[in-house]
Amino acid sequence: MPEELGLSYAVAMVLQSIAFGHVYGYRVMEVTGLPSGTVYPALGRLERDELILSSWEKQARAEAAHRPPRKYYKVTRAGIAILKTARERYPHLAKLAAAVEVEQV
Amino acid sequence: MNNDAPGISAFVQHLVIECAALIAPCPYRKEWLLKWNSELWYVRREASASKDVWRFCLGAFGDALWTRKHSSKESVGSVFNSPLSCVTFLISLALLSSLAAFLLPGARNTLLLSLHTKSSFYWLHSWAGVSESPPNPVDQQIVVFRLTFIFACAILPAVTTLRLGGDSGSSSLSSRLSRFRGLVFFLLKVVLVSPLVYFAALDLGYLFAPSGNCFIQVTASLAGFVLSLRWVFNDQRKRCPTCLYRLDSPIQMGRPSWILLDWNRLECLCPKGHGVLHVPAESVGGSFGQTWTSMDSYWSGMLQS
Repeated sequence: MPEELGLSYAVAMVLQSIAFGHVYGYRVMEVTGLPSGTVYPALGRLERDELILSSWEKQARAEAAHRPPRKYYKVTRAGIAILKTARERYPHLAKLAAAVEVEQV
Repeated sequence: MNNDAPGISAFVQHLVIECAALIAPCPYRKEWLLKWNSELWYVRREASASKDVWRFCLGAFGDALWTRKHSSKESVGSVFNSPLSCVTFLISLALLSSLAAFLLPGARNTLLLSLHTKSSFYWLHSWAGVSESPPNPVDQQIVVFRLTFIFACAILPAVTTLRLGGDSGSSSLSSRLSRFRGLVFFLLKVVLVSPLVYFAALDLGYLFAPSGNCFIQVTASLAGFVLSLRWVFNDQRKRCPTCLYRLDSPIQMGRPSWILLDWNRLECLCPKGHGVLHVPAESVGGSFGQTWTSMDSYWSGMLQS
């Protein structure tokens, strides 16, 4: 399935980190260690393939906190299905998932 | 937390994002810029070192290129379509190459040295025949740079024809104004590619040798000038003389075997409907076969006959 979609390891990592709740670009960069020039095109690609959905934070909420609104991402059902297959295809991805889980705990 | 003082660095970082935004296609640019400016705000606050912020900013170019490549609404060539976007793109390229020069320690030292040396206008003195003070490194580079420009101008007729095209033969006031506007745009492009070539050659020289490699700088500036001036001439010939937009919708007329019947040519239309450019596939006897037909006179001629 990831091969059918042409899902590379880097893109799969980005998808996985969003699935783990790292829902904005910079946080994904921090978790995956990938540069911005890789993460943002990957986000664009995942969104185009409808594996993730993006939404802007409400302006009023951001203004109340004196900061610009953020673009958040969440994984779709199709994205979760692809991610399961990607974990089988890329065993290292599962290790990364375990590491992130430990870090979160 | 990023310890960089807000001010110049923040301004330049936003400028880098703005430059990258020019690559993103127009319909997506606003949201693209909003996303990157928002993220930049958080990165500036949360990044541990300023180099991380710079690295983040440079990644904007990759994302902008990806957005352009995967958007069906615009092609890559549309950066140059309107004269304004072409000029803006050249300015942003010149700014980027100058920024790169200030990021390379050797080039930065040379440029800063020139600001603190009294002889920074030595090249003006030498132009006037006065050489009262010794040249500083930048002065010498500029003299060499000027010589390579002259040398590139001498080479140019060998790589492209120097005709600008777009001459419909009319001597009306509007036609003269169009020609004048075209000439100004042409000269502006020549002026804008000069700092671009200078800084790019400087960057290359200091990239391969920390003390600056003169041979690389001269070779790069010469090659840069020849290629950029060739592009300036070619680009000018592919523009509508009235609105200066890039001509599009190229249509191949005829076949190569029909050259004697004058049917083997390419026709390009002005996107604003000002006229048609006819470019013959082969120019006979080195003549400049490209002709411009203004749409208005074409239709008025049709109506008269």
